[in-house]
Amino acid sequence: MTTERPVLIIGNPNVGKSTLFNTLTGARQHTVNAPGTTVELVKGTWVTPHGRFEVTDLPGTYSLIARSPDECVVDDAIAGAAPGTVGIVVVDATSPSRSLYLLAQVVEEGCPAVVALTMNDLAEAHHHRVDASALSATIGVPVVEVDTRRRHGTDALAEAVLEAAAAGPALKGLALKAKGSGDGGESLDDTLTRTERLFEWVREAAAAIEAVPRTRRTLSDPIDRLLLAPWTGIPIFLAVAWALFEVATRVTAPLVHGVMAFFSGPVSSGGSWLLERVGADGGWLEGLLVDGVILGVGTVASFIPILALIFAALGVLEASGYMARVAVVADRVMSSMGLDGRAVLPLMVGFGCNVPALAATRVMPDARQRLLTGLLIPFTSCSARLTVYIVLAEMFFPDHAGTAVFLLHVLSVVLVVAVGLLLRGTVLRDVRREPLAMIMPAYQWPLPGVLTRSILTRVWDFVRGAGPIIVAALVALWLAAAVPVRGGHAIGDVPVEDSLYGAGARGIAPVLEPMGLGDWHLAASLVSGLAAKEVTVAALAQSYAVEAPTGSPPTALVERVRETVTETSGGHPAAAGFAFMVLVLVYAPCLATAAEQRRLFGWRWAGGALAMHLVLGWLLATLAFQVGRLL
Amino acid sequence: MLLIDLTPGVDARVTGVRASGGDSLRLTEIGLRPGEKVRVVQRAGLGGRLIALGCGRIAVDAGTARRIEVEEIP
Repeated sequence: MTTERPVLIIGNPNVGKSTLFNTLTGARQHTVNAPGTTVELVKGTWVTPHGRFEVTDLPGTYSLIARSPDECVVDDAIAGAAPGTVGIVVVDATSPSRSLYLLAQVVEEGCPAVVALTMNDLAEAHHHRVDASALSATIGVPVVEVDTRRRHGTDALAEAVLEAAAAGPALKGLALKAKGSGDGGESLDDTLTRTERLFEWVREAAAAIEAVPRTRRTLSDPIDRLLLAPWTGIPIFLAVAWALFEVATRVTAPLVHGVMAFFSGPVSSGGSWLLERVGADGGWLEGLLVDGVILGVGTVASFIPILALIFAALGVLEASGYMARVAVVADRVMSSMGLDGRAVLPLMVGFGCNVPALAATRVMPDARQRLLTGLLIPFTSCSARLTVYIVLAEMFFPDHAGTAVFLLHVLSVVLVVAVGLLLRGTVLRDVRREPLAMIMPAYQWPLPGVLTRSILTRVWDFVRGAGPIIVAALVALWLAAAVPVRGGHAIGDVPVEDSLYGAGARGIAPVLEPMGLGDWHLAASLVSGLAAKEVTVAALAQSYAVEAPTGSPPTALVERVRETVTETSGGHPAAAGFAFMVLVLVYAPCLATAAEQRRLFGWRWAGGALAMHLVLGWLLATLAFQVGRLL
Repeated sequence: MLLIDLTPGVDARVTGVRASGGDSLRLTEIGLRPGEKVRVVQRAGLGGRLIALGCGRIAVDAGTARRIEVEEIP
């Protein structure tokens, strides 16, 4: 066979589906979005003694009667599968009934299936071992026991796939309905009748292999006594969330600085040296390369350590089984916002850095919930914005700087809640919170190999998906600053005031007048802040052609800004200063955040989010100034 | 009686699920079907319950635990 046989991996959440996928495909995998959705699928090549199979790891689901966009993707993938496609249905030996129900639905859709029996070691520990050959004899499809931890059974599984492909869709003891008789237009009563038939079949199959469960204590019970009980579970959860925040900030800070220093140091001098060798140094080309392209690539690279560590931490939480407990512990708090309890973690990470926070939304199994959380994350005040608040607060409220900075964080939390309600009342009215009823997987040690591969795949997705936009935008920003619009300067050697960038800032300044900030220096700093919030202050200094402040005694910059703002605010610098801080919090996500939103949710949502930020930022800053002026 | 009122550690049998159509279907799909034997392992989070179904564990929120009818097995 020359073409690769398509194989779908189907299973309940947390039954070892992705671990099986990783074992089969190794490093030969990549992610794609399911057609017309923001649901990510991982595809890979499985090299077997019987040829190469193209494997797709579908999102985990309990049923093909879809209740979320991600479950729809599973149903669509199976219903629309190419001829010759075989479904590997992962059956959890600790609760086979649930998986057998899904198997029956898959076969009823017309997809030939094999069973990969996992977790039999765990079932054995509970004296509950499932006999693969007895199960196969009962249900009439090949059953292969797979130990993903020791890589046992994969060749037998490949053989079974071919066997199933030859036999076609069939289950012993279940008359199959004609394909297409289900779903579309089916009433709830019909669905219930249809599922009742499947349940009956599952009940008989389970009874035949003596898999009717007896209630037993498990090794996970004592751990859950600690991690789920309110008095201990909530403090432990808060500690875990705090630890994630620390990973996004303090732990990765030295790595981020190291990467940036590497690009601004050795890489930049290397680039200059190369240009010198070809005699093209010193001109605009060097500026374009060093301050445009290399800065851009360095910015993308600086996110790699944060993303890798956040993915590692989330990967451990997921693989160990703790992530499912987070959904339970944080359920009450987040359900009031219509969100999954797990949304707490990305939002917490957001207060460190919005970019890994967006990437972290993948811990939630519902695409609409990921979108809602992803639109709220830029309202969490990241640590880059904190550095700007501190300078501005020292400028305008030298005696109450701490209070001003604290108020902005309160505002940030209020905005997350308020914008969440606003979005759910308007464009995201379909975001539903399912009542919580979730399988709690047994606690397990994460597999380092699987974890490493998924970290590498996901970091590469970011570099490939968001990287080019970040580099292109930084090059564009450099060009705007390098092109003179007056004064007859050479390209690449232009005072800010005479550049295209300065002219743009002058054009924006009138928009800032209602908030007492109608000045081009201030506008220019906000434009630069789009690239990365932390450069706002440096850009402000650059526009005045003074040094950025380094200590607490008032520097030239502080005096110049105060002068400007006193004038633009008509004698109310404090009110305008606070409006400036509000603006820094709200006016736009940074470039990397916007690029990541584009990657995860598409241009339309990322563009809409930017518009929402600009409008809301303008309104809130204007309100802050107009009210503050009266106080 | 309702699942929420079941004392942890006591065995019971599911007799009915009072949720609306779709929600009730999902509960039966994950295994909470009339006739199944369940036991509350512990109270979880703020008002939720951790339920044992064989050696599997299912967490439900308080609202869901109020919709599942059970009878104690003597």
